[in-house]
Amino acid sequence: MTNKEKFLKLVAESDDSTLEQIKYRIKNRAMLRESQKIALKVLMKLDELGWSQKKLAEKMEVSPQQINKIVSGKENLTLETQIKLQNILDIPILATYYENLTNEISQVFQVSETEKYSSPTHQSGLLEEILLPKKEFKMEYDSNTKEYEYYQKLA
Amino acid sequence: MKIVNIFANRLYAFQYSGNAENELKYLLNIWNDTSYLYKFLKANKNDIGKISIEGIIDQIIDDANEIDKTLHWLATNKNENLEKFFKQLNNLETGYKVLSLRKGRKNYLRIYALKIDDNCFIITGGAIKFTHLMEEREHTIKELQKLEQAKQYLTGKGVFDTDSFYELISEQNDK
Repeated sequence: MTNKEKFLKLVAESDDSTLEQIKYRIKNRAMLRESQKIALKVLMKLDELGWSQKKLAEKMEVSPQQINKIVSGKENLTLETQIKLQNILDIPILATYYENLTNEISQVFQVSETEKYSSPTHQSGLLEEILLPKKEFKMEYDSNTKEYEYYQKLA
Repeated sequence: MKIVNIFANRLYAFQYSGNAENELKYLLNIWNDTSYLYKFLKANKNDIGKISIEGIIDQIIDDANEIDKTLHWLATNKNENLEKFFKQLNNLETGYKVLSLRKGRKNYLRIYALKIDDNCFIITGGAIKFTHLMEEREHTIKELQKLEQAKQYLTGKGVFDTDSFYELISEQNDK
């Protein structure tokens, strides 16, 4: 048997786990990409808060090993884990984060005032009283510019 | 140190003593590991200029995915030549060279290899490279040393073409 034949016989028995991992990443690309983006948000927030991964583990009531897996960006995170991360770290992961925020801060303030209006008697010759809106104004909070838009309408 | 087969007869990688994974598997794993990349980029922040760490991490992960796809394509299309991916490390190198030093690249990512023969390569390591020259940073100097040491190892074992390389593999597996 030549050296090459001996080698080819060994090839059939070789470990192909590297190629299997490549195939797994290609197949699960979308899930892994989301997991990696969440991991980055977690890492940056931990830095901002000055928290260790151990502290986050305690807050989430999971093992430090579990946090280690989360921040590696290779985990298929459960909905429960995503909610915990979102609530404990106050980072946007699910759509509900923005929906709740919108409900809280995009409140529309609308105030209408009315006052008694007395019609000039010399014009109509009659005493009459009607109610007219004096002023209407509306304020909307824009979360992007962090400013209030102000609308005013005079009667 | 042992030689691991990645895909039949064409791509191999070193697995150094004390390491649980071969060099290619290790590199692709860390280039997909957000925590590793975050630590690495914070430690090398001066090399990335004004680009944000988040931006570079996104880029590296996308590039690692492109390398995954390229290697998968080369593995599943036996008529494709690995030479398309592994170019000369030294841009001035011309003609046939025994155990030519090679690099597979995608933006900041590098996979270093030695050419054993036509369409036959062995990976020695790899790096995230921000600087122009390998000599400019400690972690890329280390990769250059690994390339040279691997070349010396193979030369010392009499490997100068595919047949002598297969002989070495066979000896290794007979032990």
